Amino acid sequence: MSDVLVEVAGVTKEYRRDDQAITVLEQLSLTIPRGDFLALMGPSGSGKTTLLNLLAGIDQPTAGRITVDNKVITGLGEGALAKWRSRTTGFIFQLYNLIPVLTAYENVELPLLLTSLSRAERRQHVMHALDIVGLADRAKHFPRQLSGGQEQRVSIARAIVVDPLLLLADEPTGDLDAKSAEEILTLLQRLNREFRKTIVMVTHDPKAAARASRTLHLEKGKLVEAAA
Amino acid sequence: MGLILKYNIRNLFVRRVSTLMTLAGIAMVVAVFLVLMALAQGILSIGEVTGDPNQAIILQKGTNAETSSGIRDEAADQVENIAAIPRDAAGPVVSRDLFIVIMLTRIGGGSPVNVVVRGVTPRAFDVHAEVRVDGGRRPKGNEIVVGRAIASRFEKLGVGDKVRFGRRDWTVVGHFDAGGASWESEIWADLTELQADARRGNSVSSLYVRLNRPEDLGTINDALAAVSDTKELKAMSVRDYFAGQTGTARALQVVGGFITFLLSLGAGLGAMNTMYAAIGNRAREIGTLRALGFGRFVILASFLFESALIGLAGGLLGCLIALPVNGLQTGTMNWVSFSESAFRFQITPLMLAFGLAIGGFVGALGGFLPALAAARRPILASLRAT
Repeated sequence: MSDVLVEVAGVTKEYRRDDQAITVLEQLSLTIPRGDFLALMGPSGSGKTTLLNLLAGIDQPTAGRITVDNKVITGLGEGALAKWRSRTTGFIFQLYNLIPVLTAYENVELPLLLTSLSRAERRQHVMHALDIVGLADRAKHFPRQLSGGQEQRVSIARAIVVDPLLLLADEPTGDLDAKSAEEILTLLQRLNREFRKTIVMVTHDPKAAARASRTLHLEKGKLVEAAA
Repeated sequence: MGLILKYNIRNLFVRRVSTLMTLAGIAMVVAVFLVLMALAQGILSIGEVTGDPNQAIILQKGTNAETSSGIRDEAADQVENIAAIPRDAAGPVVSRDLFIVIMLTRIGGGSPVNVVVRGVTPRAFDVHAEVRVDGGRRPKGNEIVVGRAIASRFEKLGVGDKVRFGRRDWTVVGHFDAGGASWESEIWADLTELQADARRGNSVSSLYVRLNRPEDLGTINDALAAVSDTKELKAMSVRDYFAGQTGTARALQVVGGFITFLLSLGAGLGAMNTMYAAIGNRAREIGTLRALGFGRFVILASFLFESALIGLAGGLLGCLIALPVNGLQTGTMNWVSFSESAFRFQITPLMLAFGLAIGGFVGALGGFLPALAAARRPILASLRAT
């Protein structure tokens, strides 16, 4: 088993807006070893979220190649990519993106519907994930009955419930108060250390980045040397 | 995938008002459809019930209505000699009928409308075995019996009442039932008395005969053509005769279908509007589901299901709204005899199934384009929506 989980090779991403091509990422290469907790920092528009979306397989590069766990995901078809996402990645959104009409339990169960697990097995996985984030007692609550920090923890439970290789977090503390943000970062750190999850986290917040094992800075679509 | 369906169902309750409005629109379409079809079915059933395949009617050639048909006594005697016509102890089973239209006033007033009076011999009750007179009393002299369907709709037709038409007062001695057949909208009197009152001599309007088997009709027509007294007559099955009279119902079905189609378009556009709003409000949820790995097909199916569900619920409500008209009695003008035919609105299980299907179909149709739009939207565009 290779120590490298993610390999980004010469990736360029361009958007077209009225005839004008905007380059968001330019010839970017990096490797992420298994068990890494990587923080991606950079000013707005530096391309860090675009990079995260490419790693998550919800966007495709204009050029270059991305390999995850020895599988090239660049150029995969719509259906294959959706299947790959459901098994390999867990995504944590800045605004949690829980489904309002579903309970915490049901939100966490969603990704498991794409597996062949039985109802009883799903129940086991969901309760385990909720237990890890410390919300087993809130399983029957709807998102509106939870605080922001709790919602984000449900969202993390949803991301880890399929036991993915790669956790991707887009500003996971961006919408939280300091205390809740601390709790979320502690949880991510624990997932990394205790459960050996590879995590890539986009953040603006140096305090958040400090919790990661290493930080990469992006500027105008290119990696720059870490300041610290 | 039960959870995804739960997701759709719960969202219907989240936007209660728009769900209810869409549902009500579809319910109206289904209700209108059912009422029109129940009306048509009611009219049709007169013909269907009356149309015993073993009964034939003999009329003058060149007419398709008893009103305008005349048969002389000698011709009627000749018909009774036809070998294909069954006989019993009392002779050939042929009913000689005189058909007259009178004017009566409906209960509740208004201008008088046409009602059929049929002069009959005791033979009529053998040919039309489905006719049952309460108490078994058949009309003699100045007596009449009244079909159940009109007895309650016109003035002075209760048992014991006297009603005036022609040149005398007639006494109602009974009401009769004919299992929903056309006769229930008629008044029956004794043939000889009615011929005398109407100064028709010995002639009648039509002859009704029982057939041993429906195929005997051809033999009878051949026999009619072979004799000079009867060659101006023709026989047809009672079913075909009444089918010709229920053209109104067929027209109603066509018009009803067309009206339903137009209303469906309106309701479908309403459903479409609702669903476009729904997917607009839930763009981020759709993006999230896609990011989690749900495919486009799941999104399409889920929103189609949501829309079809509104339609089905609307269809169900429409059925419930329309159901009370079932069995409601009313009258219509029979455009052949220009007289009142009473009938009941009839809602059949098949119609209800059709109503539900229309509801579901309108819902699904209205939801299709929005569901397609939801499924086709790129993930990032959905996720960025607020």
